[in-house]
Amino acid sequence: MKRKQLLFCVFIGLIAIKNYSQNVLNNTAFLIPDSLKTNANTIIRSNITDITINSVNSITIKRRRVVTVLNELGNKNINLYQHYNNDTEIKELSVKIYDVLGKEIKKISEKKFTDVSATDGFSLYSDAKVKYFDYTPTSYPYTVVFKSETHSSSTGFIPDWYPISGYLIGVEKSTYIVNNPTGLEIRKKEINFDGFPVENLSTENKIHYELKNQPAKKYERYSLPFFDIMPNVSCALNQFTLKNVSGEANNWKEFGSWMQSKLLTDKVVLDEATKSEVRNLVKDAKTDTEKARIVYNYMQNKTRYISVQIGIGGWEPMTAKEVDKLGYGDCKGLSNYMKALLLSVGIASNYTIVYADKRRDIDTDFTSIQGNHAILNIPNNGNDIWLECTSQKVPFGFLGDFTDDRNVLVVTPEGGVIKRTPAYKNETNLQTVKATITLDDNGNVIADVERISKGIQYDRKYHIESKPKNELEKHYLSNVWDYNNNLKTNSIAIDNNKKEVVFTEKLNVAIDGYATINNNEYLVRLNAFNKFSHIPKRYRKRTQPVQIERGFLDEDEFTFKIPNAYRIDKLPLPKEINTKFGSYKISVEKIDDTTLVYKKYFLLKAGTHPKQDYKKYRSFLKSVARYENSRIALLKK
Amino acid sequence: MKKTITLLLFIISLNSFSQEIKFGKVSKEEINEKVHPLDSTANAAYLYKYRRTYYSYNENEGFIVNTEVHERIKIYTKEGLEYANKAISYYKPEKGDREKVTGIKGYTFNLDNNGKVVKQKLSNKQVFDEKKSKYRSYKKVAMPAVTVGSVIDLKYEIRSPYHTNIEDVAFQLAIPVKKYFTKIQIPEYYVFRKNSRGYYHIQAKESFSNNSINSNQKTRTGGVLTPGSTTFNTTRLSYRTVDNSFKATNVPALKDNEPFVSDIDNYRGGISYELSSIQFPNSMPKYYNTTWEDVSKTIYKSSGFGGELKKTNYFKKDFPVVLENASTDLEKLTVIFEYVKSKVKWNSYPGKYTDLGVKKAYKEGIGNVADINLMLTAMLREAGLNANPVLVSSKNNGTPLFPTKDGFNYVISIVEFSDNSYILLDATERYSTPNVLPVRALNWNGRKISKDGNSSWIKLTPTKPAVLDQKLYAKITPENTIEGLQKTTFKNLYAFNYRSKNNKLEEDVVVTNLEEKYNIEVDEFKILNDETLGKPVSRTIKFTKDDLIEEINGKLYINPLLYLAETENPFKSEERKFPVDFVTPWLDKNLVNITIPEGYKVEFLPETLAIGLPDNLGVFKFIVKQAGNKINVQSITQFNNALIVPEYYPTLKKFYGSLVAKQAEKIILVKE
Repeated sequence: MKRKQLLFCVFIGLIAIKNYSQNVLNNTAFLIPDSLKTNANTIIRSNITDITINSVNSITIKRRRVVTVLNELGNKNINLYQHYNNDTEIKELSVKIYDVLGKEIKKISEKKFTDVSATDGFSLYSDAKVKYFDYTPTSYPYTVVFKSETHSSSTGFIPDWYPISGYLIGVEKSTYIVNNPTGLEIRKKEINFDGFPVENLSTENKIHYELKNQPAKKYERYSLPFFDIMPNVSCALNQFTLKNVSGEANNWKEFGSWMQSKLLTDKVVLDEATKSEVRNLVKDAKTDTEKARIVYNYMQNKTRYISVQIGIGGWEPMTAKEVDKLGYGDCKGLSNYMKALLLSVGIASNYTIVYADKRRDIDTDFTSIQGNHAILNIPNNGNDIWLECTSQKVPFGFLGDFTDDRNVLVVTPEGGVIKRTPAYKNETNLQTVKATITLDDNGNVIADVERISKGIQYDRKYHIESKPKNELEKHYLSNVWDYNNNLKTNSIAIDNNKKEVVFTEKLNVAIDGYATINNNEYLVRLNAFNKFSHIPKRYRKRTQPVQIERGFLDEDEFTFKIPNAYRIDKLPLPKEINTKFGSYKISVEKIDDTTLVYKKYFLLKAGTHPKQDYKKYRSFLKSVARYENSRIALLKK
Repeated sequence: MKKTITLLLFIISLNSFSQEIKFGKVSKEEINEKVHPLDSTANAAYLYKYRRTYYSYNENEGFIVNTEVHERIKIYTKEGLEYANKAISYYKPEKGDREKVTGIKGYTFNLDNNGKVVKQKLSNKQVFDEKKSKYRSYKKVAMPAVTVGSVIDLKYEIRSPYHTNIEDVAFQLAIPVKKYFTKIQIPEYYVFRKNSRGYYHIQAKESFSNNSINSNQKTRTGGVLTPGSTTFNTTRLSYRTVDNSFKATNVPALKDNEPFVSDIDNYRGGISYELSSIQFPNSMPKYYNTTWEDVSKTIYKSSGFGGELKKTNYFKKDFPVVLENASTDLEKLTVIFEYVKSKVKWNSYPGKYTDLGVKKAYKEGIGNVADINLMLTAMLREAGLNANPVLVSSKNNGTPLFPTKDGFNYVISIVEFSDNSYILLDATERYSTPNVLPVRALNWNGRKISKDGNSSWIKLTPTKPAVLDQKLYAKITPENTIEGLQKTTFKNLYAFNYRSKNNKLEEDVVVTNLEEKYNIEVDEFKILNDETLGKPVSRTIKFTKDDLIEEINGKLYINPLLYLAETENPFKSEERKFPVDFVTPWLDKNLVNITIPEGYKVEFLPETLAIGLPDNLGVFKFIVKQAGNKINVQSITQFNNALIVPEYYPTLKKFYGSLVAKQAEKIILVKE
């Protein structure tokens, strides 16, 4: 699915450094303390970001980064590149490489960098450019000294400070300085400082932070998102310039007003022809929701996602008229277009900024340029409807895991408002599987299976709707029921109820040799069509809390018709496990001499638990995986 | 500046589709069509794919190659919308001659509410130029107003000053083509060889047409086709072009969605063009490679190959130290190979010609494939070994079926011994060993070039199988947990793969990955020879696993191979049109020894099975036997060939089906 980010995400996370001439560094890897080397592939020896705000439309960013790479896996962290564009100029750029003894082995001047367009693979075009240097290490460890200085007229986006830029990176020292001799009002925010060796050395006109001697962190599955764990400082000016557009915002309300007046205004004009076409479509619709649904469908069928980022286009949507004519746009253009279409049928809606994909909030109490994606909000008298406008397939009002459950900035006519998108949790993410399974004397199976999915379980499946028949067959064989060898699909019927957001799959399948026959015993695995086999990785020492992100509920009921030559003997007792992570129940019951019913209930609950619970969580899922393989024996008559 | 020579081309169109297909005009039926009539799985299709490549002449550049393209695309599904975006790749180096893309024109056709065809023009504003690398740029086009059902017309022309190079003709693509037409028109002065590839072919129709170059003013000695002259007169030069037309209807798509594929483009039908000679009027003919001998000689003679191979001074100073402790040929080979690997690191670029040159590569410690392996060859020769370079076509470069210079893009080294045995070497990978080359180099045959410039074929596909040898000893505890010892050795390509993947990781990560793979708990882990390249990698683990034993009505059911069984047949498709590529012959040998727990006896053991594939391609053997209180299980899967041709695919699929079914059968133990 093509849903993509605003351009400004390109700038997030770029590590910045300053040229500190008095800071003579001994570039040998010998001096790194052992405590930093544990678990590390890379050591940030020193990383200085020195920002100077010269005026409301002038900012200088100096970066100096000294990085020692200990092994092959650390190469990806040297980041020998510098972005630039029409309003950001590179003043200085160089790299030096040192060997293990601190001897200079290579010196790369700006001329030797490769200069290319910085498109992200989805963009049709972007005026962002990047200069990079590809270095092939000859031995490890080695040390890289990267220096750059850029000058920009856009002050709307001051680089953040993420002293720990990733996992398996040890940090000897990271420095962040924002000089503000201008007297312009600057705000800052500190996040996740607890437990990290961060020092605040700020003075009146200078923001100054340092982090020293931070051992490398290891990534652990089921941990909280990176941005929720790692320390960070963000800064923003109340008065700023963005691609030659001036702005002022002290809070979200004002920021929203600025966006509305400078970036969004006059963008919702449409041709009469389009307006009347849309009005005609909704003429019989009774409610606003019904109308909005028709308009959304119209928009989805008419457009496709393409990103074109030129000038302020990284922040400002294309006009609705242009999108209407071209039939494409990016998240901003398409959301704004949808807004214009809704307006033409008298429905008010609000352009909304969000962090998409990995869950991350727009900071409620720190106003700055944030987010990397745009969606649309229909207030609908307090019953908010949220629209993802970059997908041609997602149902009306459904966000899925791309933008669910997070704080977003809604740009209303009265200014910016922070709202939370709906969460899909636990029972909401329901999947039920019902099957009638007929076994024959030779161990073969014919079954009718019906699988109904809602919530996030819907989100994971609805993409398959448009697959052609032979690929669908392959999908069931390879992805869904790969544990049933010899499975053949006789018929597949799929119903994607977009209105109710329910996905129904009905299949008739045959599995040859499903049961194993030994002498007078006939062995059948009870869980034929919904086997859960995931067991979380074992960590000998868990350091992070455990997060189960959304949770789900699976309910299965399989009716077995047993073969003529066999009879039902002893049946296992029901099994039940209840933990704070969720519950699991299975049972098998004899209905009559030829019929058995297997039932399963498996609820995994969203939640965050202390690190000590990881083992218990793992053992819960291990037990589940084991019961999922339960078989029973039928006996020969 | 006045043009002094004008070019007149008289081209008679042989394209019989052109009557029906006019750019900018589509039929209602085309827009109304809901699915591709022959391939209902197609998300989009080329209703028409047209290309004409022809030569033109101009005073400044001489002959240039022009390629006209017209594509008519039908969008059937939302997934197909990606075909409404097009990136036209062209050569635009920072220095040197550039290609140009001109005349980009496009229309999108839809039906309006009254069922009438409406078209929207592509505006120049929606065409962007993107610099992709030092050498390549893209013209990016996003067609306007495209929805499911739309038909798109797009045309453009590429002008290339590289007159000796004609882009490959691709017949088969990822989506079907309804009407295919390509015409390649080459002046009689140029002779190209056409090499076809893949599993779909269109027969060329040859015809001739006449062209001429008119020079109104002046020419000079030596022939009209070289720029710069002094004599004044009018010349008209007529020449013939040889036209090849490839015409087809309904070319099927070839999708990339099968396991064990090296590079799908190798299997897609097409033709490549390789120049074999040029002869201009009143000039001596210039021959390019017509035979493998010629190709090899040309490459050998070039300074970036043969010249580099001759250089030795740069390493002479260090050489005695390198060879200090080596006395036999094999020892010398080993130390030199290891020395080059540690001295020069590969910069990820292939190449049959050196990039930096061996001297600089040696000094800086970085080089491309040729820098490294020509250096290796030179050193081996210096040590008195019979070493030669071997030209290779890497896996993503296609199979070298026809004599072409571009057919090779890689070079390795061979050392031959007096007993006719030989060793292949590639020093670009840290963990490659003698006769174990990285996968990218394992492509069919390579061309060995001797010192005198003569050449011959060498088989690259490994003759020795990759061997996985596993022994597993298992005990069942009263709680039905399995405790055991697993000893695994990895040989040849398996060892290379193991080292490349795991040696850079910390041991606890390797252990955790193993635990996750088999769902076991590893209590002890020992690895031997992971850095001793001359020996197989040997791994021993002690493990416990508590979900292997199933107890039903007092009986125990155990999989004979425990967790080593293949549980899934990788071949899902009913048919396959291209080979299955295992890269290397291979042998997986599993021996499992299970101790029968106290108080139990065997009720059932799976029967022995031995099956084979035709032509001795492969075998599977499975034997379960009881010996006292032990059950011994032996399972051997062996493929003697790296490549299985598509004709055997159904047999292979069935073979794997039987293998998986057999390995799923369980041992049954009952209480005594």
